[in-house]
Amino acid sequence: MTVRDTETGVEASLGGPLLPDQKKYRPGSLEIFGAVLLLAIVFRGPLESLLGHPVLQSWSTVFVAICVQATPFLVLGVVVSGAIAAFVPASVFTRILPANATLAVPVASVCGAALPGCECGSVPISNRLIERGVRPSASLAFMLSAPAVNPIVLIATAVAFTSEPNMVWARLIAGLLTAVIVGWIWERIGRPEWMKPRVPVSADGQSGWRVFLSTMLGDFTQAAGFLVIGAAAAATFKTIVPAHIMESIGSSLFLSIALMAGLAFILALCSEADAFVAAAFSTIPVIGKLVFLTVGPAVDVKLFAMQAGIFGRKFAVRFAPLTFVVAVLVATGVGLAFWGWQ
Amino acid sequence: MNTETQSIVVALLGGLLVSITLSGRFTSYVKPGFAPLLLIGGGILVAVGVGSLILAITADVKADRTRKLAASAAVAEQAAPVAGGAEATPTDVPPVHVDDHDAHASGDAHAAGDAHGHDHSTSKAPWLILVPVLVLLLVAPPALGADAVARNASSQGLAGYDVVSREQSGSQDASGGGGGYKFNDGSGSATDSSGSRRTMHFPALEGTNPSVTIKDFVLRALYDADNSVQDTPVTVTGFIAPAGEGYTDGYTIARMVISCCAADANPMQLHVAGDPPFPDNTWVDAVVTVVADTATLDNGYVPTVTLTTATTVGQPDDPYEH
Repeated sequence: MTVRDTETGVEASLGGPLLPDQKKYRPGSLEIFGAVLLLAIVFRGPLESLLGHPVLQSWSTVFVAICVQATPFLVLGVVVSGAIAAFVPASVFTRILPANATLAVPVASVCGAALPGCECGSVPISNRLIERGVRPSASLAFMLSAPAVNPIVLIATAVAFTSEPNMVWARLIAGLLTAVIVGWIWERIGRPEWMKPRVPVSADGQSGWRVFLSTMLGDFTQAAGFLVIGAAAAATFKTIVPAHIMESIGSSLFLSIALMAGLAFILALCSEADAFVAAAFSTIPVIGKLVFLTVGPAVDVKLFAMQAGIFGRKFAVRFAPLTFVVAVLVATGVGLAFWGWQ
Repeated sequence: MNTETQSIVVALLGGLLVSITLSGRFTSYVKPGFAPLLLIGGGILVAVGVGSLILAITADVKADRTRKLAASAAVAEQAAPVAGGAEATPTDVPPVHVDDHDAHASGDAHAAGDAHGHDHSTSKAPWLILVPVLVLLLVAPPALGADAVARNASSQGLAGYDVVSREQSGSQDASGGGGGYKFNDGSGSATDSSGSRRTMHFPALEGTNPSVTIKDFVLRALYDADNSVQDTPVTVTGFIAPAGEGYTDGYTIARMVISCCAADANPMQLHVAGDPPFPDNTWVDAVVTVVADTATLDNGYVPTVTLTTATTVGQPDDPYEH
């Protein structure tokens, strides 16, 4: 029998002389890991001088900054996700959430307000909820609302927009509405086969702590891998797009909405920080800022990478555009209701 | 990536987060307020990594022992066919072919890895975690400097104004309005519609060459009704950078301002005429006064300053302003 994966490869090398067909050597991931470390240390000099170029240096600083800043929030997310997998029986969710999809989606969205974190953490949690039998539409609504409407984000928004207290309410309403509408649409059009096939949990006979640990490890490594892709993309945009393009847009409402929606996608800021950044775009009308604050937590390049990794690419290419369009429309509508045509 | 390697990578990342926080290097990437979050997050990652590694190794050892027992049983069976192989097989070993992949799949190691559903051991994504880890470990990117100044520069009149209003909101000092973003009419100008300069009052400066942040300096230069930095020399700390847009000569003393992490950095710049006394990215304590009416829309509201003295200093503990 041929050795099928790297894990067996490790064992094959330890397998002993008894098993002739396992003798064929394939490097396991520990060996590859060691080789990568060794290569990195050997080529440290050239690597350093390559990243010593000013542009690449700025890039790597921003890249590392996004990773460092997002990791604690991702850890919070996987701790919650692991706790759900290990200690919360699936029946709890069916009891909390109404069976009726039309009701379950808004209830899940409102529950999102209870989770203080930013968007990276809510992706693994939402994945875990689906696995525990929560309707995908409700879990996804939770995923969209949690980073947009939790107390920490709202306080940050209030601090950044002191003279525009309505921004907090506008953001809360637009965030919730986006989550609910996307959830309802997904309930109608979503197909299970778009998501990665998942194996049902078989935690029988395993202690809660063992499940807790292995879930956290698996969720973290998976999500962090895609976070790295997103951080690299955002750092690239940040490095190559000059900041003053914002100013030349001026105060055209449509242009500013398009610009702010696009920026929210490519800058991939943490939802706890985006209010400060939005507030600094002084030439942009307030509706444009609301679009930025609504699109950012719902869909950006980093989230797209994470969703593609965790839910599957087929899911992400459908869900991300849907969320983007709904978020832009909802934010524009809510903005017009609050501030009117300026 | 198998469970053992995943555990090591996660513990490595966690340890790295804790170490850059304790050594203070983290301020090159995020604001100082992140320290407790990084310590907690890093600590949890180390615990998860070490815990998973121990579980994986004990499970491996167990599986190995089971396999060896089965193997020796098979040897015994071959060596003593007359004695009857059935009795020689230990009862706790499942009667399976030891070279079969599936036999191992039923072992403890695999069950632990698969407990939550998908098979992460075949995923390639976790390898990407090594990219930031290696960059941090081997290259340690420095705080954003002169290169980022030019690329991220935008109008200081606007970028700065809102912040002071925020810090002073509610105070009677803000004579120009109620604070916040009220002046932000989208015109991109530091003057109001009638063309007169928007002003407010700032706290008085005290002492000889008092230290102010470059951001505070720019705001005072632009909006101070009492023109404090025009009359009183103050000390600012920043690094040397090339002259900004709208200037053909001279150089810049700059500092990056972040609100969360280096990804949202914006520069604050002061223009100085003449040749730079030090190369780019040299940190200096500079004693300066502003030259009246030099910050205009055309130069992005970068004020020109008169430099009295400039002494080189090390990079501050927190390289950014907030």
